[in-house]
Amino acid sequence: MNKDILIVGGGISGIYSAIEASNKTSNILLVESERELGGLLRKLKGCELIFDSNKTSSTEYLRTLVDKVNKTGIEIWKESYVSNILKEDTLFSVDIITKDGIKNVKTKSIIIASGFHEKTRNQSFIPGSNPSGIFTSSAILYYVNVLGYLPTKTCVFYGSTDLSLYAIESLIKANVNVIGVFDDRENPSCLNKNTEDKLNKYNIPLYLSYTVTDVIGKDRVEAIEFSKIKNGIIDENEKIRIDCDSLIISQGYIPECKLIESLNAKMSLWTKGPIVDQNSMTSIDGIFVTGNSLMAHNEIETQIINAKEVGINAAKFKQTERELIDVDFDENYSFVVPEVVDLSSNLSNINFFFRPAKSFNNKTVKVYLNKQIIFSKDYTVLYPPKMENITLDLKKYDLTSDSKIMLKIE
Amino acid sequence: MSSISKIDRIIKEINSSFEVREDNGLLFLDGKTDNYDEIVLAGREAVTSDHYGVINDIRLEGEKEIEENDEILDYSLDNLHVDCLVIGGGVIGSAILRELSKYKLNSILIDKESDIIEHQSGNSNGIIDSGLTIKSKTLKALYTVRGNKMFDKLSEELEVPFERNGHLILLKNRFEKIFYSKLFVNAKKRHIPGIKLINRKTLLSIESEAPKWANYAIYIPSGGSINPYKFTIALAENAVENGALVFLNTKCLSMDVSNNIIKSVKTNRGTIFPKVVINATGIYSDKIAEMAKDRTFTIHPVKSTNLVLDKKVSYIAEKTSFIKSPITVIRDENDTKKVGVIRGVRKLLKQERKYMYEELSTIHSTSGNVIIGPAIIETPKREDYSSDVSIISQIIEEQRKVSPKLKKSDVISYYSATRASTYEDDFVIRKGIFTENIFEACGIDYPGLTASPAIGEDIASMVINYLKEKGYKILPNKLFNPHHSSIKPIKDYPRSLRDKLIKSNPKYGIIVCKCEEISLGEIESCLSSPIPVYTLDAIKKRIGAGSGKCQGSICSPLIQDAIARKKRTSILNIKKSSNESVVLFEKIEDNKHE
Ligand SMILES: Cc1cc2nc3c(=O)[nH]c(=O)nc-3n(C[C@H](O)[C@H](O)[C@H](O)COP(=O)(O)OP(=O)(O)OC[C@H]3O[C@@H](n4cnc5c(N)ncnc54)[C@H](O)[C@@H]3O)c2cc1C
Repeated sequence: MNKDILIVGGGISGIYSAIEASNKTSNILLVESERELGGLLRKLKGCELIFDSNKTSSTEYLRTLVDKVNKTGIEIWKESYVSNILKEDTLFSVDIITKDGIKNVKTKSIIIASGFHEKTRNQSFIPGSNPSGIFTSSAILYYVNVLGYLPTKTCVFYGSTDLSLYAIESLIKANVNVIGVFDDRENPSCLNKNTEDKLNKYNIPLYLSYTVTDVIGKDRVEAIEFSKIKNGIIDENEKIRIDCDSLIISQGYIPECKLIESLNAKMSLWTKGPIVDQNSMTSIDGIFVTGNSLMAHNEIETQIINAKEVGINAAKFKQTERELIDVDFDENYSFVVPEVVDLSSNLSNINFFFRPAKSFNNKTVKVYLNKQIIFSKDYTVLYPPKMENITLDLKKYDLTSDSKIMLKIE
Repeated sequence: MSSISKIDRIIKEINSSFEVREDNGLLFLDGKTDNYDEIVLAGREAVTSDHYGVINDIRLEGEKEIEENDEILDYSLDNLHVDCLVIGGGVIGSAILRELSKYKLNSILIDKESDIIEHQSGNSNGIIDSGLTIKSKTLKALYTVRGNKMFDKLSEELEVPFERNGHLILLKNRFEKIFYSKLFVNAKKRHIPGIKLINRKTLLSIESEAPKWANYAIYIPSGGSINPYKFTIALAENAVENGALVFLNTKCLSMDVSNNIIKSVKTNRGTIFPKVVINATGIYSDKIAEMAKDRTFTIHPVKSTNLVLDKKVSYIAEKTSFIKSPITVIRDENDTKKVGVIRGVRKLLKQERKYMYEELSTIHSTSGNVIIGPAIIETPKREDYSSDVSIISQIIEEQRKVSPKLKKSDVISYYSATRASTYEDDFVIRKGIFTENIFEACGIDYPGLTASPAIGEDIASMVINYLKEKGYKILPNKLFNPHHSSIKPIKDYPRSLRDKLIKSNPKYGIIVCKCEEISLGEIESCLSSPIPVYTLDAIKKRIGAGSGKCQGSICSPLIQDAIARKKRTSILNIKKSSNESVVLFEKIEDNKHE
């Protein structure tokens, strides 16, 4: 079977890329490993999305989206798993595991939109015993909203990402007692509008600068011990013991990049996803990445912008020699995407996404080209959970392989 | 008697309340303290060669004994008469059971946990030790060397992943070799083949990413690694295939012993009447020996903490497992130098801590995930599986001296478990001394996994001899089949075979665990094995579903659902491991779910 584009992952990003690309070609295959399309959105069933500052029901939203992609007439395989990608001359040879056997598909380009997984208990280095009752927010969302079962009656959260807020919303609706949200950071890890909306609405206290110092319980969690962090050190004297049956971890997202890593694509130290150029193309020609497998998004808006662009780029893709230059940024950023720019490709209106490394007030985001400021934008607030994006028109400048692009916050 | 008075003097120096007494060839220690290190130290100091062993009854004040769950579950085994009762289903009990299944005997194994790989054998690092560095004249050295040689055949018969790529002791300077001259003598005496000193060039041909500082290494080709869970399970399942029975969630509570014979064994599922009892209860083996009135030793649990690294850094130990020579000083002298002459007890107590990272190795595992460990520490708790962040961070810190590039983010998981050590620092493998129909396979700490096949052989032959002596006619099990087909990940099958398999059963085409690419079909076939265990942990350990990067956070709900369907029960009944480790509490009412 020959395709123009193969899209891995039928979540919001994969779907948007598919819809957008289908304007150019209908020879597209979208592969989703689960029984239904939707990815994360499926787990948010019944939750209220905040979208362009309006509240939208996620169930409604997903239904419209699925209708839309179905209407494009592209091929969609569910319960199918992309196992292996091989590069052959100009095409990729892809093995897909399905219920009917292993299918081989040849494709010109690939969009990876396989989402993320949350940092686990082990990746967050949580000490103590290992009983039942330690979950991530996404597992909670799956149990409650997809399967319809309750894994907890009284719980406490560790980490305050946006996903934790959706998990809280779902649990509260099921009459679960959410004792509080603890975070080892000094500021919440979620967007202000979500925090206010959800935590305040349900009267759930937020404890900042606390870390888990013990998990108590042999078979099932019985209690969690949190300790205050002062100046980066655990204060032995300020401990809180919370009696509960569950610890719900929401410590952040790690892009799912198994496929792209197996092809030895260059990975970013900052996003933990692959390094991409302004077209979201990875170091492997013809493979694009979008959504949470590119970087941790927490706003649907930015995700959609990127997914649509990627859909178009993949449809337009032709093998050419790329001429890449690095995009540098100072330590005030936790990441900037793209990290490279291809001079041989379109340079007008490039979207740069970034997150600040810490909170700032009244600062300016400046872009330097060879020490000359070519862009600046003032922000009254910048804070880590809020991803920002700026658009740069680099076509105006005479960029060469020696040009240096540098982003600063000053 | 002079040795007793000497011990008395030493232990009084540790704590003036400590007492020593001699009885029946045993040494008893009594007293109390609130410092656990003192208890362990006294136990160690009391070891002599003229006694069977040390019974350390010194009490730790302030530490409350963890309540044991001795509730009666049912009476399904009540009044059961059997030939052999193996208590404890780790690798040792399983190896013994399999050997016994070579005879026409009615043999059963009981284990108190929901699975046979919950204690030591389920947390082992999978090293098949050469036996080279173990102290001379110990059963440990004997059984390890013998066990090591049995793995090629066994792993083939049982279809368990096993690699014999050798082990390395890394040295910085050539002169350090002289500290190892004894090893070369040991190798000869113990018939350990092929050990040699190699230079960096040869080292790199074996381990291409060997640490930069390692200019020389001692290469021990007989060292290997195996998947410890799969090995234990395969032993037990093969025994079941050959007629033995395994009962899980079955705990030995007490024994009725009279005239030096165990008459019956009380469990939480009724009273069993065996002709012989085999004690393979690991960390509890002194308690079980006590029940059988045959205790000659004391278990002092040693907690071992290990890190598991992401497969993407598997190049750190591509083929072999290695340890930095403790003589080699890399950066910080105080940390890696061996402690010299011991002066004064107080000082000794402090120095104990320094040994914590002495065994720290870089371990190649058959799964491709490198293991870093163990860090070891004495603990009064027998079942202590909790992890301490400071130890984890310290392991990373220490290990950076060996592999400077190691990052905290390379660690995907960590685990701690207790090893069943005795003060004599040796295995107890023998027929009962004070009770005639008990057979002890106790105090089997590192490297018990390696020694297990040899221990299994010997205990079984002791049992057979005893039964013959008693006048029983023992016949071989002519139908014994040593072959067991272990579940292999179908992602490793040739493509055409995998495709065929999916076409015969579409469930092999539904991937449930995405990190490790494991299908619904594999989960179901894992539950159709001779010892099916319907828990999340069992699935994880048997086929690796949920053991990958996301640690089951994505697939656990799906795996649970698959187990429930296969068992034809509600998903509410599917637990993490033990019966009490509930995952889901209730169904959410009035909800339209998928
Ligand atoms: C972290 C760690 C790493 C290790 N790494 C290695 C290695 O790399 N190589 C190596 O060779 N060795 C290794 N070892 C040692 C090896 O794992 C052990 O020596 C071996 O597993 C001991 O097996 P066992 O069957 O004696 O004990 P266990 O596996 O502990 O089994 C004992 C069983 O007895 C059961 N039991 C206890 N009390 C009762 C009761 N009252 N009634 C019924 N059942 C009971 C328990 O439930 C348990 O299943 C390691 C040990 C640890 C802890």
